[in-house]
Amino acid sequence: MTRFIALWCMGFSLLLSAGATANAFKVDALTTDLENPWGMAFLPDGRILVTEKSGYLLTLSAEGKRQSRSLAKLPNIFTASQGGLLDIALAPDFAQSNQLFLSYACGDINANSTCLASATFNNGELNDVQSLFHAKPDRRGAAHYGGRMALLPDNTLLLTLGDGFDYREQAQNKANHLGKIVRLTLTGGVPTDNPLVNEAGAAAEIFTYGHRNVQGIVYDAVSGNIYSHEHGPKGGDELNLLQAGNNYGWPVATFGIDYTGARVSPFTTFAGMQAPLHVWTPSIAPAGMTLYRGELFPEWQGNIFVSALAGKALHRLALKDNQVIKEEVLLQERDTRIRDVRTGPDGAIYLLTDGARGQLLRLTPHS
Amino acid sequence: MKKLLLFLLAVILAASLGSLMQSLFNLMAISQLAGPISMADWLATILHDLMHFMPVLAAIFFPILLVSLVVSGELSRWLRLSRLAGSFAIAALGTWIALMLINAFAPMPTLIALNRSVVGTVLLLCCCGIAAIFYRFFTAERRLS
Repeated sequence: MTRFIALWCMGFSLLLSAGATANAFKVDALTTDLENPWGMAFLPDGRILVTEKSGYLLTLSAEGKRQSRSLAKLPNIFTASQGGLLDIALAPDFAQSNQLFLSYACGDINANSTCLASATFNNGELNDVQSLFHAKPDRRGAAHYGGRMALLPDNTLLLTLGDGFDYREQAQNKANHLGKIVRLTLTGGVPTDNPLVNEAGAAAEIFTYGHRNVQGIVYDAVSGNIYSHEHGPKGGDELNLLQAGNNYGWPVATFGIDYTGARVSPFTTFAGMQAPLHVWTPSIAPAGMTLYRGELFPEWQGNIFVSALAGKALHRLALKDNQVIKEEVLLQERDTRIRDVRTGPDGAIYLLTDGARGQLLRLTPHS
Repeated sequence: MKKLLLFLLAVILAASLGSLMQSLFNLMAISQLAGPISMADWLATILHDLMHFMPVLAAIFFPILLVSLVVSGELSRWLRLSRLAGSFAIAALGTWIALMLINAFAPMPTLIALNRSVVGTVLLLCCCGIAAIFYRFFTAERRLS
């Protein structure tokens, strides 16, 4: 009888806690007519910039009202399949310089890659566009560009890249940029303290390597940690804690298999290669990430939020000592692919849903 | 009934050979990155691919072999073609066209990893070609040219 009561109490408390989370926030759709939105950034005055994969840059008011939509005239931009205009990030001195960074696919179907450009933003238009970086070598096909960015406090920038799908073994080749995360100065140069800068034959821009397709990266100013996540093949999506110079295993160490069912590798871990903090099998297709340090949700302080395409949900991860101790799947009821998630300057959580009629959603506390 | 059974055996032969090639090619690539791979890992991977990849490949090869055997049968009737060589060539050509179509419509650039390289692609074509010869050989009325 005692055991029954204890079990009932445990079940009831779980229900209560689950319900408390489900009711802890409300979701407002601020905009519902975005065309394949990919990334977003918040201007100092509260307005929101949104990139669309087709190459357009939108300026929205803080309440999501469209103010402008203009074609980003980026050099040699390539729009096909997974390629196009990707992420956006403001320069640390944006308030003075109006400078921002844009990642995008560049080239053509037979020879393309991930590129990075800077530009100044004025009245909804981009000016002074300058190419900063072109990941080498070019490859065929239109898949696995990575493209997410994170700015570090030392005025450098991390840009995530992909393995180009057909070239997965190149993620282990330190001579090129396929399957790497690169660290660049804000003018596109190579920081002199990059981990492989003195290694003969290695690409000096490399920060970490052994990645498949990294579409989430975040720097946490409180802990100093850098987290990334990447798409696995069929299974094996990963959350990683990045450290300069480390090898993250792909394709030697993976928990995933090919889409056809074939094995990619017999190894899930391998000596000298960093194991992931967390693995998603089956795949959720993680596409965006934020680490929450806002004020509206004190109970979510330090949690990582991951937007999922195939998983059609928002994943909340609670970490302790760099271990994922709890995972909660939110917004499943919306049954929508979620491309990006960011923490707004107001402490709300902003989401971009994927697709030809993408939405900008805002999560705020219910009260 | 015998022809149907032989056709199904041919499909399984093609898919099994393709699966084996996929395993070997892939493990060779991994061993170049990670060093020697134990015999247990080789066998486990081959077995895994036979169980999980071979059925997918069989589903792809089934219509290819069906169409290519019908076409090569008709062609050999009207043209002075060697039935075995003709069947091999038509099956290989059919596989090549099918792989191009699959890759054009699949969301990823190349669906089958073995198909990423020229050598791997030729091996895949040969798997279907060998299966076509297998079928022709065992269904022939001992008048093979």
